[in-house]
Amino acid sequence: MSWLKAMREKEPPEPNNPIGTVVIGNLQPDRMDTPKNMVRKSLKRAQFTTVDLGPSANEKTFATKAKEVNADIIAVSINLSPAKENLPKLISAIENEGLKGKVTVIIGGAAVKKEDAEKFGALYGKTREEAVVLAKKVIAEKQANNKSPKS
Amino acid sequence: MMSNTFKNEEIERIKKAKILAMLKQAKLEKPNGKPIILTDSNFDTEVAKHNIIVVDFWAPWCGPCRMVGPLIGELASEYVGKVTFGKLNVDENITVPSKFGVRSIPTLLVFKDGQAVDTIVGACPKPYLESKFKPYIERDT
Repeated sequence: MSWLKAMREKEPPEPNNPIGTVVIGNLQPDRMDTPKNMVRKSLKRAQFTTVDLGPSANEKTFATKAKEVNADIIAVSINLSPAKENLPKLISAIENEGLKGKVTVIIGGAAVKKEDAEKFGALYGKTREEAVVLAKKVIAEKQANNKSPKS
Repeated sequence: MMSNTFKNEEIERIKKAKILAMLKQAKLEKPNGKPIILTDSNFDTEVAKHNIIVVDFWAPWCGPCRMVGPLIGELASEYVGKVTFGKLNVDENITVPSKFGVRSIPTLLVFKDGQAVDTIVGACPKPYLESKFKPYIERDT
């Protein structure tokens, strides 16, 4: 009953030295936010600033919020097949906001597989632990790119 | 002469018995507009038997499954003779769900000619469910 344990899990404190910003939410019309909250709390505990869009957020909300807070990562929880069908719209919304290449999309949830993520150039995390590992990797790569001399 | 008549009568009797058994079987297999109960042991035979079959992976304790269940019942009677609907309790049957990578319930798998062709995850509205198997009926007609 790990999900029950997760629901009773306390809200972690805001990170003192945030290593990155993640905009996280359930893609419309998915309203099952327990798995998303599990991932959000893990990311927060791993020193990420998280901006929670809540359940059933539309693609434009993801994109505009990510631009507004200068997010490094957009984490999308997809636990419903119709929500998976909104994934192309989300990718277009991100591109329309000029965030392509600036923001990394990580997807997860019961309705998606690794192949779905690969199709849209996103990353796929099966568990909350995987999501944290991926997010840390994204930040490390971003920092390495910023440090490397430009040719 | 006598033995020949006896043989013919015996053949006729066997023929009649066979025909009756076949008719009985056909009557049993006639679609009744209700979802069929699938298990780990009958899954493969039932899926192979039906041209288009939609399988609902569910459990009695699952709230969203209770929303999908009645829809499956309605669809089974609306599409009788065209699409077969089956229900598989994931608490009682473990092999089939793991074979098809069912990670959450309710999950619906659409099978066409024995092959899984589409997946629906979560409690979705009836028109959405229909949109997933209707193209395969249209392709057949």
